[in-house]
Amino acid sequence: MTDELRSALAESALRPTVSTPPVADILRAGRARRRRRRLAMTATAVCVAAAVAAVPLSRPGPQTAQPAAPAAGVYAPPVASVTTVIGKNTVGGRTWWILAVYYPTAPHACSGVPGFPTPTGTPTGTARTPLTFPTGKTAATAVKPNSYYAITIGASENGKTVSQQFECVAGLHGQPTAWDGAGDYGLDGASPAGTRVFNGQPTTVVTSATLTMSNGATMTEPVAVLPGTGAHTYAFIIPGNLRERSVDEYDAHHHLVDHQSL
Amino acid sequence: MQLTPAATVRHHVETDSEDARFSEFVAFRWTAMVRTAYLLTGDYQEAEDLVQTTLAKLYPQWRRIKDDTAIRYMRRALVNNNRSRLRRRRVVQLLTPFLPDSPAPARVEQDRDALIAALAALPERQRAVVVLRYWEDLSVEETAHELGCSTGTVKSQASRALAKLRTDPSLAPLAADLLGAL
Repeated sequence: MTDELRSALAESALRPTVSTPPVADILRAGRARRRRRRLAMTATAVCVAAAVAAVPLSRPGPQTAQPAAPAAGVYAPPVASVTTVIGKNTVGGRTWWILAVYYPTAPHACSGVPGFPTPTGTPTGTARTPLTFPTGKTAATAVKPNSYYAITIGASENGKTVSQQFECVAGLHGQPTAWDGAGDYGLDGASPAGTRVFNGQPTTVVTSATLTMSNGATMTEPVAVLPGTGAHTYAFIIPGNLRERSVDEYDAHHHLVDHQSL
Repeated sequence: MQLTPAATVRHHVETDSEDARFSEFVAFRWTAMVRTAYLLTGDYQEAEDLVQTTLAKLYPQWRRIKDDTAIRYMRRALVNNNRSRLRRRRVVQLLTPFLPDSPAPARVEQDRDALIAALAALPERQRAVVVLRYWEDLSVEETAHELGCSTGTVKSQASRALAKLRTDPSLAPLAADLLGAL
């Protein structure tokens, strides 16, 4: 009965001519990813532990006044690195956290990532997300990024960091920088299988998001504002045995702003 | 951590050996993975990007992946990364007022055949079920395992997907026997 569907799928799938595999590019990207993970494991452990300890202080809640999004044409980026907690949860007996670390200058650990300068200072690639300034002036894709992030996802147990990895994100000052670093993957075997991250960048009126899971359980996270970009974001740590059913975004008065079935 | 000279040599040998094994896997599986990704994404360019990104993410963990599980591991990663891609697309949609208009991919649209367009219109999970069941030829149990859901969910998602395909107007030009068979 479904043989015809199989044939139709095969006919469709086989139609495009597939290019040769870019093995060298994949290896290069994979090595860079592994190098960043190792560097993250060793170089930022102390900073992250300190940040986690300071979670209640640094994590903005829905009712907390947030730094306003930068006005068009006027922007004063932070002069020091700033760590913002954008998600935290306990899964499998371990505390998981997601941090956004803003850097006023490109961190060395991100060298070689498109949009980041090399150790010699030569810029490579371009910003990942070409964006438009609020005034309507379009940023060309070749514009040099001047806002740098490391999105760190990690786990700690008994106060010790047991695993972490990070993604480098380059953007433009004053722009909501899309974070595409999180994926559905665990960390170095430190997580129960399938533990993953769900993130979103809502509109500026949204102050919290509630995720409903496949078992009916819900999780609520406040929206964090990323210093250096004004981008609003939230993130959830999802246990591997559950799936996301829907996400609801609320404003400061807990009025529903957006509902998405997942 | 300082490596002893012997450990350094062993490290390099292992790395070279793992790189060779990984390169061989990529070379042998690339075409099949791009085709699966094409059915999942509905766009050839996005399919290649998805496979390339997924392989790059797979690389740091490659040493822990055995040959007999690599394909399954990769397939699951492909489905999961496609889900992440769709979430990011949602983020971009939220940012649409700030983004420059991108020209409609007219040629890409033209190149899509009716079935690809109909697949692309399905919800992500239903599309994954159709691709895994009827393109990858996985059983209901294997599909459930890949997607991390129950067999009942796979059956219901497949049933709904087939019902949608059957009534999709873009499939109308297809032969009546295919529509009937669905």
